[in-house]
Amino acid sequence: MSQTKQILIAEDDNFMRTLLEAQCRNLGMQTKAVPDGAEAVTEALSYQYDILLMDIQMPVCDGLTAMHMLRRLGYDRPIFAMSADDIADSGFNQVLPKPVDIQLLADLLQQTPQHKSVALVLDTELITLFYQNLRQLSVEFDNALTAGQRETLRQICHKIKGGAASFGEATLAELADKLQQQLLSDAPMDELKHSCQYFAEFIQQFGDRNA
Amino acid sequence: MREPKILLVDDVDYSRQLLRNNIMALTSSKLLKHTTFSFFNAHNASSALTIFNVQPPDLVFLDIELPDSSGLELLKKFKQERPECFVAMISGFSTLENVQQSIAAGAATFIVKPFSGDKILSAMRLFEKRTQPQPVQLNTV
Repeated sequence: MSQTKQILIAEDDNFMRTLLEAQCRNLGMQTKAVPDGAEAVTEALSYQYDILLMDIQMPVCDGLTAMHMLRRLGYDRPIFAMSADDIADSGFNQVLPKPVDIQLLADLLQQTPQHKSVALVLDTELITLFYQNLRQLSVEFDNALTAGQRETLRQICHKIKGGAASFGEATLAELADKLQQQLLSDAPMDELKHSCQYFAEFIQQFGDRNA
Repeated sequence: MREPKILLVDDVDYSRQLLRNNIMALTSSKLLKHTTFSFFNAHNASSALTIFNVQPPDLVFLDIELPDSSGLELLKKFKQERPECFVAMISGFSTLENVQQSIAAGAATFIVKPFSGDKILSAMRLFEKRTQPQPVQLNTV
């Protein structure tokens, strides 16, 4: 479990975002900052943060909409709004007037309990299964590439992407997703051969490293 | 307390197994009200629909990308059949559009991969909060 509280700051103004991050770090917090409500929603759903500090007027998705989406999905961690206007919405734990009074923020952050994390159970059997499966898919990918079976290649990318994402192998998941999208596009197979070969080597080495 | 049925829908075997192992670990650690669940697995949408009708689940973990259908389309079918069913959508790549569409189609919550203990616990606790536990009918001999 982390020793310091984690705060997610959603603020579109560059200067304000940097200032808030610095202030929260000075208060002993670990910070992550995002520039709009859309990123605030997807980032908050990682459930890594003890507190979400949200501006109201932001592009892509405003703070009020973002908060409502999170609450609708059962997000029960504290969300503090920052606004120059009066915001009366029970979805926010508190509304801080802008400009934010740093002492008020410090008091609030201190009063907010740190979330006790629950570790993910990832037993050896499951890890072994993941890499065995990856090595098998690597062989199938090579065969499909030799045979020019585009749809099979796409299906294998999809499987690798899903498994890698579950296990937190972000680079592998992103590569598989990118190639899957390319294979779904209208691009001729000749143009995708190089990407496929690169991916084939990547997954083979990935599987071998963890054999 | 009646044993809730959980349907795990994901084409990746170890993702389903990871979910199952972690839910069982949460019950063993007494972090959930329920002490036991029964699990059903589906690796694609058609298999999920069959199980959904034969063994109506209380809770579904549903991957947004399935080999034979979109998870969102399947979510709509589930909610049409049984609006009270609690569905947790799962996605490897979360976008606001995915989240919005899931909410509109009736998803109770949204889990962004990679899985973590906190994400699974939050979804399970939300399920327990939003569904009333049924009293057990005791059979006296």
